[in-house]
Amino acid sequence: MFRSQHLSYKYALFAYFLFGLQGLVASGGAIDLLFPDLGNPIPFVSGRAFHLNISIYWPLIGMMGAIYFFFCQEAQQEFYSLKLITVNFWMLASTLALILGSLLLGFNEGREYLEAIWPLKLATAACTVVLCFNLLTTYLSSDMPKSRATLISMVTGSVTLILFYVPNIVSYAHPTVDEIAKFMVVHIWEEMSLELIGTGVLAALLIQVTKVERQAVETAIYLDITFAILAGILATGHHYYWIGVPSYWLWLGGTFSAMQLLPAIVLLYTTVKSLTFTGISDLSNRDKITLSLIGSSMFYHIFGAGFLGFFMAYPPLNRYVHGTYITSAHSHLALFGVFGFLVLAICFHILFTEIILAKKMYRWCWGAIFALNGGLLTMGIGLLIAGGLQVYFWRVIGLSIGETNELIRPYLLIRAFGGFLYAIGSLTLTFIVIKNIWPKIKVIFQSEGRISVMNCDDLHHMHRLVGELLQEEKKIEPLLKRIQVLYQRLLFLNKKNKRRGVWKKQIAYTANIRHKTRENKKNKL
Amino acid sequence: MQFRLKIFLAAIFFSVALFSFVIYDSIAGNLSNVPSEAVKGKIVFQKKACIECHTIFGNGGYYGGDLTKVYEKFGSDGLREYLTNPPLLSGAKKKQHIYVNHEEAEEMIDYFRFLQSIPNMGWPPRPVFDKKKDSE
Repeated sequence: MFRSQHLSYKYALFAYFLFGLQGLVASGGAIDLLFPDLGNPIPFVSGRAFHLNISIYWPLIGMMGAIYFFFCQEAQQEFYSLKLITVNFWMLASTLALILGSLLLGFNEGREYLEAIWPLKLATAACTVVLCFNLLTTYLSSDMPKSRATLISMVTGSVTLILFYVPNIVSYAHPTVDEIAKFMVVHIWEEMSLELIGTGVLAALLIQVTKVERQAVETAIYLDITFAILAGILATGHHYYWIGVPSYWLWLGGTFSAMQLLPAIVLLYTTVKSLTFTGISDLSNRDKITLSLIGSSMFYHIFGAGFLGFFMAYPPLNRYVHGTYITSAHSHLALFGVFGFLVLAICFHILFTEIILAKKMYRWCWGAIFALNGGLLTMGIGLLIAGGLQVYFWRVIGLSIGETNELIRPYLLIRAFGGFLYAIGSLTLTFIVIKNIWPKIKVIFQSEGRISVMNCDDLHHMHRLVGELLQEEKKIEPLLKRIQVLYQRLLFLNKKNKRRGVWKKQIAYTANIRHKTRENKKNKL
Repeated sequence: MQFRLKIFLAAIFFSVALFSFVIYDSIAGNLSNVPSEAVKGKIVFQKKACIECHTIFGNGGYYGGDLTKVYEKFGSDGLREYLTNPPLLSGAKKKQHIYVNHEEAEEMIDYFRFLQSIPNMGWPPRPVFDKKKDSE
């Protein structure tokens, strides 16, 4: 366990907090849209801007935490500067707090997804620069092969974050230029940069959890990220069809959007392939939750983002469905469905590395995952029907938008119901995470200097096994055997280690646990 | 350097280069200058955060309808009346459309007039049944 990994906990925790908040805000917005006279405490305009900004920032924060957690593991070395990890967190967290606060107070730049005022956008760009600086210096000094796929994908993803954000710090006089710039964040960030980072992180996670051999997935990762680059950047064209650009964008956007199915399929193939290396039933509860969240992400990657996106990007169809609730369905399924679930999986894995989640809590986790999936699907289907009818009433038979809104109201009610179910899931999961992390909150926010210098991976592993032992009665024997092996390794390490002073505490600790497990065994016998 | 890494780097170079070139081509020489009144109108449009409910070129909020060709539909007088005497929102009994003062309304009308003049391949599509009526 690296110290950089300790420092990334707070990112994961903050991502969970924002995810919980999102469920609440979005439900409020859905109700406000249906019943405009209710008198929502937050004006609809501010609420929607709030919702959109969280939807961009929370996956970003989670992914940044994931980079700090997995990159050092893949590079087999600490980050260049540990202090910068903490500094970067507080920069990003305060920037987001200021953005959300200013939106509630009515400071709105008036560009969808990019509502923050320019100084705060500059601060966001600065956060990505700090990340890249730390990442690149670490990458260059690493002893691992420079061409390792996971390292390459995380580095490329992070660098492109800056590249495509910078044009959006200012807004332009011509609305067409505004739109061109906007989709560099709304499309390229999500479907290229975060996709690259996500693939790298996911591969690192699968290598760790399922023990799949690195060589077996390396080529697949390269294939995936090459497709993601090729398709991701130029597929931005499907957002440019009707904004006042030359007509060759229809061809460009259409062709490359069709290609976007490829990385999704390769990613699915890689994941499934790596999963066959291990029996699912042997996995710990934590890994089961992580994998089921990854599975949810894969499902929406193929259906919500992949196939739905594929049909929508076909220009003659797009002409009619563009700018309706169908787009809204697609963005919910693709943005939360793919990246939301992925970030949830990774952050869950990160947060419960050292802290053990009690067994009874897992039942609630399963419930929450069920509610999230059910809610998202209901929401997606409600929006798809509403959008389909909107196309018919508005674009086919030519009713006014007001009349159309009245006619599709019942389906927006289904959406609100789905949103409500989703909010139950998001609040439950966030509550479980925060409740179980809270007793250790000081450890999460510990500064880098105070974290132990030792590589105590085995010790943490053992701590986890003992924790599981106390919960699992049936599997007690194989677990005890694993603990025995770990003990021997630790004792061996202990003899080798010259810094005995540092190890004294740990020896006492391990002896204590050994005593406990012996007694446990006796009781069992 | 490994072969697959070379391919990956080539893919990045190719995509970024092509993307930059087509964007340059789409902006330089293709876009008309924005009249200064329309720029003012765009600032009002952004300040009032209209994009949260309405779409421009189909991008924005899906509740209020698209404003790309709104000038063609209502004309200056209709828009001025709508913005300065806001009616109730659809489905609402109390909540009105946002109010815009006369000066701002004029600027926004200039912006809508400019928006309408942007050649965007005829989007949004005219309703299918309207088209039939025209051809008859």
